[in-house]
Amino acid sequence: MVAPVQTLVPAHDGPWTIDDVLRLPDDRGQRIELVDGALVVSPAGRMRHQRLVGKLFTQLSAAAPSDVEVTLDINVRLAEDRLLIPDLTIMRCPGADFLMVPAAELLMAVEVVSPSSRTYDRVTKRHLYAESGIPYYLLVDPTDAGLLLRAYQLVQGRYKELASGNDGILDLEQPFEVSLRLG
Amino acid sequence: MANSVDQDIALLEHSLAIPYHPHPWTLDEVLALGDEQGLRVELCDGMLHVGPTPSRRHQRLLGRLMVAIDQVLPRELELLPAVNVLLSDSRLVVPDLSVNVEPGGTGAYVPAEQVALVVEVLSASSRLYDTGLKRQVYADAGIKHYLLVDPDAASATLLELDFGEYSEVNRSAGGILYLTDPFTAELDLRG
Repeated sequence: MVAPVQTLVPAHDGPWTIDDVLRLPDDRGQRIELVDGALVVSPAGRMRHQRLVGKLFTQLSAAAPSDVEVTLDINVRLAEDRLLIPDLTIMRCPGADFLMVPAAELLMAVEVVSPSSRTYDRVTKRHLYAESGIPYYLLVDPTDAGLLLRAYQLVQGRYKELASGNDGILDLEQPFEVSLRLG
Repeated sequence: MANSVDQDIALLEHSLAIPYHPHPWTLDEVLALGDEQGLRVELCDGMLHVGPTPSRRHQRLLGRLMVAIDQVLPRELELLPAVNVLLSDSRLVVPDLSVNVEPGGTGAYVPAEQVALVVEVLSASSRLYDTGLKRQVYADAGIKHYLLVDPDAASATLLELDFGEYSEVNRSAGGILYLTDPFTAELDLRG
């Protein structure tokens, strides 16, 4: 498959829509998300990022009960003008086939931080996932001080830290039991 | 499916063209992209934020603020709408208004050290961004004053930076903001 030379997004007055973004051709070089009608364009993850995503997918899938599904890179509709693409999600409806999943179907959103996305993942995305009521948020952050994992649980509309670990190690009991070893 | 050349041209003329770019965006690339397409393109650590065209209501209030500030602004300060402000070598934002301490500059951007005040007029599209991530990156860059104006509530809040964090130091009352820092002004936000 040949990569597009450019991605054309229809220009019109006012905010961009979910429809605008869903119509974009697959661009594996970057991710285009929609936040309150603005476009957010971020580069695709480099090898270290992808490697971590792969390990998370393997370990979460192995531990997941049969009534949930772990997926990669799906479109999640948070609101009429909010479309995000979490690195991984844990969804309630295994085997379903949607172009876009409503936030209500998500148990957990997982983001692996890259240098380009640190502030966005920790500030904006966290807020957006909390606002749409996603019960759990897992942030995986390869800092200079080590591979930090932080799991959050939604409590009265805000994320409170549920568990955290250094060196890529984290044991969770929610939303299901899993021992993450990402080092 | 092949398009005719005419259709391709039409699509190009009426679209935002995001180049294939599987790497973090750089300052130079973002400056070029924003200029070419006349859109508000901001950069945060390699990610782009492309804002939609602002609403008439947003522009109306912004226009009135500009006139009011311009009338009272001391000569050693300069008011500019929608210029690039460089917060770091990987962060570029476009505040609705910025008040700068070195009038007459001609570069592609104003460096953060020269900015005394940034003003953002909130809209449905920008509210989260202006109160969240933008607030953080302005603080990181040491911009002393950040004025957030809410047209829906006809209210404004002035934040001042102290030890790296913003705190609220002034708030409008009855739709009017009495500003004393970094200059004196009475700003009517109503209507």
